[in-house]
Amino acid sequence: MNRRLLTLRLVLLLAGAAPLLYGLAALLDARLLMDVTGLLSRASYTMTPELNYARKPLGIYVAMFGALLLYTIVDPLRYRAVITWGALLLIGRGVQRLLIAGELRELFAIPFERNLVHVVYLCALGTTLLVLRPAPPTSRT
Amino acid sequence: MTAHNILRAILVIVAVSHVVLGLLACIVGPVTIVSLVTSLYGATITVTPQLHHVIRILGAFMIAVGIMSAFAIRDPERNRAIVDGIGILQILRAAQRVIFASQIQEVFGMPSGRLMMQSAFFFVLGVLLLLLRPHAARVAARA
Repeated sequence: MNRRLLTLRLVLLLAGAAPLLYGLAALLDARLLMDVTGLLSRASYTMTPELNYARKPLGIYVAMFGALLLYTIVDPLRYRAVITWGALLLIGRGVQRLLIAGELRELFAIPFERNLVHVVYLCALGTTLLVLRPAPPTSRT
Repeated sequence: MTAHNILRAILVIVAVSHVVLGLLACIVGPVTIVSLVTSLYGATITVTPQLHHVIRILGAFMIAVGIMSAFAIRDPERNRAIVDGIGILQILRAAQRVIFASQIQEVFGMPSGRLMMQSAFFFVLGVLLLLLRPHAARVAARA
């Protein structure tokens, strides 16, 4: 198998599995979500009734994002648009986290250094996907 | 109107609604969110700073789904996975509204009739997307 394609598939597996699992955790159990968020971001917050509901639609969207990225592993060339979209969303989330670092520290007590790790991870993952994605087809059959 | 055109029309609805609502969620402040939620959903909501942050994240994902839907409008056959994904997403969102109806009514004071009407709308949208999606054999023939 083409080494570049294999690497792309492994990166897609990493990029898709994490949001799928995180989205399912958000959807299924508030306590689990708080534990995962605490572990990954050292975030602490109060689960108000509104937040407890908002986690469910958010969980569905995040899980679907992960599932679609995993689906592209089957045929990265056909689903090039999804890979591009996924990569841009990852980079966008990274930039968003950088821009609101102060807010994240104030509201969720997320340490700046920990947030920076997430920013670098998201941007690196997105950039890697953009670099490794297949070239667009030159003609249609 | 052919099935293909109906599918594309539904994808346009999904794309426009997700991008518009997603942008609003990302851009507007808590006061505007409260008035939008009241007028669109008939619900009452207290937007704490933490909830506001979560709404903005949700907005980012909604914009992404809207953009994906736009990809599928251009070429539904090539992007069949996107049509499937959005169809399943709509059905899951409808199911989630029905399953957690009592929680939604308790927390947001949303009228049950409106909640059920919206759930039915999203469910029908999702089912139509799955029914009208390009046939697998046609997609395979084009690959």
